[in-house]
Amino acid sequence: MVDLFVNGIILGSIITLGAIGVTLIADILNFFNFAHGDMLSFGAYMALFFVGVFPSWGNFPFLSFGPSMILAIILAMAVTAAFALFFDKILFKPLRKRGASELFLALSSLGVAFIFRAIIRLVWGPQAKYYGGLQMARRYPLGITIKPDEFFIMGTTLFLVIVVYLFLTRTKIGKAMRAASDNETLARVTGIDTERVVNWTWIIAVSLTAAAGVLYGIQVQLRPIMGWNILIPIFVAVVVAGVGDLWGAMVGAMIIGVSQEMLTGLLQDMFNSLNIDVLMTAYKPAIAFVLMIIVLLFRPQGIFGTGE
Amino acid sequence: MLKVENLDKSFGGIHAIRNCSLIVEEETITGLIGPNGAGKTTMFNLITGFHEPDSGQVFFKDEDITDLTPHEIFEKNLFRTFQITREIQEMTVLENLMLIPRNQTGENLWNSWFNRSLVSQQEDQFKEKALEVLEFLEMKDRKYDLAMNLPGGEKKLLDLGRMMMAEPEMVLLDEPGSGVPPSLQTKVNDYVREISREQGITFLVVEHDMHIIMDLCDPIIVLVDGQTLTKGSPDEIKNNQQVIEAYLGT
Repeated sequence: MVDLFVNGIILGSIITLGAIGVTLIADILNFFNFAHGDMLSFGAYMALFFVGVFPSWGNFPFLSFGPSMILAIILAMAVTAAFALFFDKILFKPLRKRGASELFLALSSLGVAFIFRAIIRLVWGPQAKYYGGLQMARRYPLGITIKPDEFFIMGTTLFLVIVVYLFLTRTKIGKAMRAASDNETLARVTGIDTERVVNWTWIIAVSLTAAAGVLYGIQVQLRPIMGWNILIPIFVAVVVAGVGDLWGAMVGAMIIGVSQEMLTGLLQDMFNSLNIDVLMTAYKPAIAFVLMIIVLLFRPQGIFGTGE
Repeated sequence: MLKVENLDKSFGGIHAIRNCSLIVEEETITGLIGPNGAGKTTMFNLITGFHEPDSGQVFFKDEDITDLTPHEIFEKNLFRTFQITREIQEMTVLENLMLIPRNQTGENLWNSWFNRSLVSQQEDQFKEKALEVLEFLEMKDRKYDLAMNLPGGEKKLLDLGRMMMAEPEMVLLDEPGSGVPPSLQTKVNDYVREISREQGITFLVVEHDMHIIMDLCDPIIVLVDGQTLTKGSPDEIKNNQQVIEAYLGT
């Protein structure tokens, strides 16, 4: 039970980084970015590229990777954010200028998702890839089995969330982002360059999702479809929490991660004891959707949403 | 100070501004009046870059600002307020004011992270100024309240507070009297007069309350059906038959 909870926190950590990005884009650019999952995959594959380019500097103690991976994560975040800015320049910005609705922006982002996936398939192929050797899980008290890499995943998530929180609350650009998301008209008339705010939104949101992709790749494996598969829990986390709240996105992600792991685990045990042959892991997205429906029925604005 | 030349704007089949021209002289408090739908707010939106005109030009201090964005126009020291109050709801009253001053060192990301003392020093100055503004507006005890929790009248005062923080050369005031208590309205009018006289700030004021307009503004421009009908002193406007007809709709 505790083991499933811990696994849920690890999955929730990866969802958190994606959910913060989705909630920032939804709040400031006013659309749900369907390319977010494939940007996550792209970040993971870019890190694979950079890990291959750098010489081997050995591994950190207990971990399956070394300093080259840290450098690869940073570069993957930067390159993926640069791609996102490019797509904003050639696609989303002209659409915004023409007053395109949220629906058209979201549908356009679906097109961008296919472009990212096509690039990944063309360059790296459809088969699974790994950053390095497989790592064995270790046993801890309370029946917890966890890989040392997974401590890195949780620690990195916490670090990035704190950095983004400090950025949004302590820097002038962060405050400008909050102002623009709150009241864009007033922000513009009081000297805030909303296009600059848009650029920073892409940079932060997509850097985080690229980092999430690398962490997901470290934990499992790299597949072109990996981001698309995790997009559903990311969207559900944002909807459950309510759009626009950083801590809400984190809590929503943890709720989804923990619920998915625990409920599928518990249901699997139940079906096993009844000799029913079902593989519950295949139903993880269904659990996310059921949770979303329950929350929306009782609190349509999300747990932390203000209902505006 | 501000020159609008042959401005024209249509929204679908509605011709909101028709080849309209007007001039606002430096260091005046000019009123802009007209019946509902005359195009006053559209004119404000065209001047401040919220709408693109179909034709015509806007000059501010002899510089063509027609194609500039709202934030670029703010940087030129032209400030505006809104008829319906706007605020950054989830920031405190103090934060709303401290966001306004230009050229903040914290806008530079390097300074934000690695030159905190410089940023803090400047923020202390802005905080002091913001507290003075709140003192004047009799809102000092509201400084840590979220802007979303302010009543309508105080939201209007926050608008004026923003104007005071911006230290502009010209202000477009959209209905400064609505929702403000009469006692404070007199104080606001006196303040507008004072800063116009002492600091040379130019005002263009849209207001439905004729008492405020006649008390505060000279000259007054009358806009009817998206066109300038006339311009004159309060007495001239009050006695102008065309203006009376436009308001009465006869």
